[in-house]
Amino acid sequence: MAEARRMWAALKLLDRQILDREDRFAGNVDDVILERLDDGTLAVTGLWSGAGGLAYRLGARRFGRWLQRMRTELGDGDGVIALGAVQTIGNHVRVAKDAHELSSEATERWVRDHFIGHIPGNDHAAE
Amino acid sequence: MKKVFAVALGILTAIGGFVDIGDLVANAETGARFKMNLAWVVIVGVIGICVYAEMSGRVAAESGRAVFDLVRERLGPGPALVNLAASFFINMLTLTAEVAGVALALSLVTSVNYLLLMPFTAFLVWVVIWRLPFGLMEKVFGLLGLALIVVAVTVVRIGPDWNSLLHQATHPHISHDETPFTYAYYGIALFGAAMTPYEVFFFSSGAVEEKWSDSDLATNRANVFIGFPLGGLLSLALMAGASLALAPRGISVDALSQVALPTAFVMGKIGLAILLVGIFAATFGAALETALSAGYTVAQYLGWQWGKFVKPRDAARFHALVLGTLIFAVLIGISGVDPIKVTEYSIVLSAAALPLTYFPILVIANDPDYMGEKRNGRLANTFGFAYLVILIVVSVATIPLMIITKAGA
Repeated sequence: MAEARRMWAALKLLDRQILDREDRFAGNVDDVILERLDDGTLAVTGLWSGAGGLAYRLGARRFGRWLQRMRTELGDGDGVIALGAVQTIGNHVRVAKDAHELSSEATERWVRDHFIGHIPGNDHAAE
Repeated sequence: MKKVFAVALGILTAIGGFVDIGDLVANAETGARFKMNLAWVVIVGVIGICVYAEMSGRVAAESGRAVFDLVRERLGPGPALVNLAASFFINMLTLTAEVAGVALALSLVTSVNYLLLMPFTAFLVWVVIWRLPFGLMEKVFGLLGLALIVVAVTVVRIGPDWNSLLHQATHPHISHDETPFTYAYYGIALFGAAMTPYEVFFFSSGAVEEKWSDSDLATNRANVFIGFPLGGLLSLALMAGASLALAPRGISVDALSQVALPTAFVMGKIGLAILLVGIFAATFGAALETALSAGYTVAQYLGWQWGKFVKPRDAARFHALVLGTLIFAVLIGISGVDPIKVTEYSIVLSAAALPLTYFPILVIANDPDYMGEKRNGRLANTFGFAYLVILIVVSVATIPLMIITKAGA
């Protein structure tokens, strides 16, 4: 029963929009990390956000693993958000962190630092 | 008083914003070829976009989530990815057509080849997205788009036999030199032109970004339910103008300049100048919306930060994608494809792809978990499900008709 409830919670998490503490969009929950606890039950220990997790879940397992290896080799971290950082789960999944601190947002930072950040006016909102 | 002004402005913007390159081409084309015998399709299409836009606006306001975010959650990541790929491809075709439309309008004024003007046009679109206050630009282009009223004046100036026009529209028949297949194919084109999905991507994303409340919803319902039908009237005027001025002369519409012919015939240079302003504004506004929609769809599927209210550096992948899509659209445009053909394909395929985004929104609009008290009532569901049936029929029929008619040839 407890296990079923945990699985249901995991399903509830999947594909939700992640918000950081400033209400910024910070990726989707592309997959969840499940671990078997000492008492034998399964528990969600983290949210996996990023193309690797998504490809893996969609069935392109080898491609997903390759993408994941690439990001760790590039020093971008694993894209996993520990469950302890999650604040609330509702229409959105809110984490008590800044998007800049999340390893899953490494690509966003890369595009900002190497492309968008070089175009004049990138620091002004249009409205 | 201020409120009345805001509502009036919104409605005027919606009228100008309804018409884009697809409506210009499809209505003039069918008017010249089928006279008013397909006018009823425009009305079916306008009611359809009203139903769809109202529903997605309400869903966005209640759940705080835009179309593609919900599509992924409701359909699951796999089917939603297929959906995304189809929507993105069609949206890019539409973007190419709109940018070509702006360039063609400019080339009629400047006599510079439109191919040379396309990169320039795309650059202008990008600058507006990157830098300028978007709400203001939306209103400016919407209001300038009202110059298209000149097509209604054209019809009045021709002084047609109104009874016979109305009779044609209410007693549609297929003339001897057409087949039921070509009739149906052009009907789908008209339908897709009135009910383009990017309008809904754009609309619901705006609603999420502006954090709509119930009072915003009321204002927007007014814009949709008054502005879109009035925009539909402009579409019918385009069709009537072509049926009166082009059909008797045996002129078919295969270039954007021919869309302007009826007005040029009866209103001379001044009329033509006003119409070109209207075409420029309508296509430029639509180019902005489709370019942004390219970013919205992908960013919402993947959960990236998106939007026009944050600094570009804070939505880096979104802006990179919008810019990349614009560049790609220009490359398609200057590769020498016929812009009228691109427009036709974009509206016909839009019609075929509509159920992909319409269905999830209809389901969520009925889900009390998201919508609470604001879920679909009986009226919204009657129309909602009737249109689901229409959209599925259209979607199934499109590709076979495309093959049978050799794309309307």
